[in-house]
Amino acid sequence: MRPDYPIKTDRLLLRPFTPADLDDYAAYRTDPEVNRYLLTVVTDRAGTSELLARKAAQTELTGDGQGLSLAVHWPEAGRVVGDVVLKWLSEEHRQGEIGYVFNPEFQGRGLAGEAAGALLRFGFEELGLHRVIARAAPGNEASWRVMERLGMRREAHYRQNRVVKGEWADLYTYAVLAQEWRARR
Amino acid sequence: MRPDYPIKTDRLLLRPFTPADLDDVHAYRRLPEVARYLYDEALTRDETAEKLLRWSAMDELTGDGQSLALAAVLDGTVIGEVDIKWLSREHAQGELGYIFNPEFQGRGYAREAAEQMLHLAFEQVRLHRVIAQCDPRNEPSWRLMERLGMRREAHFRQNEVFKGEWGDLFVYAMLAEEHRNEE
Repeated sequence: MRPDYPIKTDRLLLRPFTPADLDDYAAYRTDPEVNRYLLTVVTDRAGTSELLARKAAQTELTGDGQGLSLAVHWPEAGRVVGDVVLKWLSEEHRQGEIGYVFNPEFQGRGLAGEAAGALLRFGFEELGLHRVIARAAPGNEASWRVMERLGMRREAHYRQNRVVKGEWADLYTYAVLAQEWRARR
Repeated sequence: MRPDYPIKTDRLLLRPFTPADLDDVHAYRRLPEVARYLYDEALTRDETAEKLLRWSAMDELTGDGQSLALAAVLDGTVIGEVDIKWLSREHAQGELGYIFNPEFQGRGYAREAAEQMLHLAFEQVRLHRVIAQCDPRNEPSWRLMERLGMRREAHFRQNEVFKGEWGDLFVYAMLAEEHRNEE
């Protein structure tokens, strides 16, 4: 399953990463504030370039465990302002997961929700998913507020279920079912 | 980590399985009501024998993904099974499980065995957090988790197809510090 690129929303274009995105991507992906809640920490241009190359290859879904990683281009700003991911967790159980990382400079405009919403639509309508989850650290309120605006429900609050960067960390899991997502449209 | 066997509780002995436990274990593992909320179906005698062979080797924990699976023995009869799975060594996480013969339910044996396994998980394996999972329709199972002092951390809705229909999942958990307060 390969989406027709670009995926268009009201304001945004979602499409595979290209090497030319490196400046825009590094501008936020190396930001300590952005890295704070991410498991893959990137601090320099070389690390960003490696990560970008991996993401640039994730453009179609042919089976379990794969992901779509897309750059979010905002024409009004003339640049990539964030990125989104859709993981196919289970083909048998029709489960998926979305994630997003945005440049703080462009936060507060609903862009993350708009881009993530497009991936939810793709997951439910094109991939035929039954349920899509998203996860965030409780301290990352900006992230889970987006999940709530997308109509996702908090299903789990794991306490100290893993060590992240030397500290016990909690984890929220949000979810939305296909029928709930359709009822909101 | 290999416990000294048998592990004694007030009324039970916990020890590794042996092939000689076949009659006792098959007595409940053959029952559809026991298998209702397990990923396993009701077992044939041969299937129970195969499981016993595998479980017999699960008598120590040396790494991630392994399980300690023990028989709960009352006056010489195996009346159920308890296990601890080592989910992650790095994050010191484990999972508790239990299955008991309905003939012996309602007398607190499952609780007694499960408490002992939690003690072992926290004090000997030195886990930081232990979870337990069950189908929300399996109320006796999650009531026991609550009596053990575990908290419900998740209610996943329709997160998998279970025996031909969409199934939900409860996840309960307990931290080492909560366990020490409980004891």
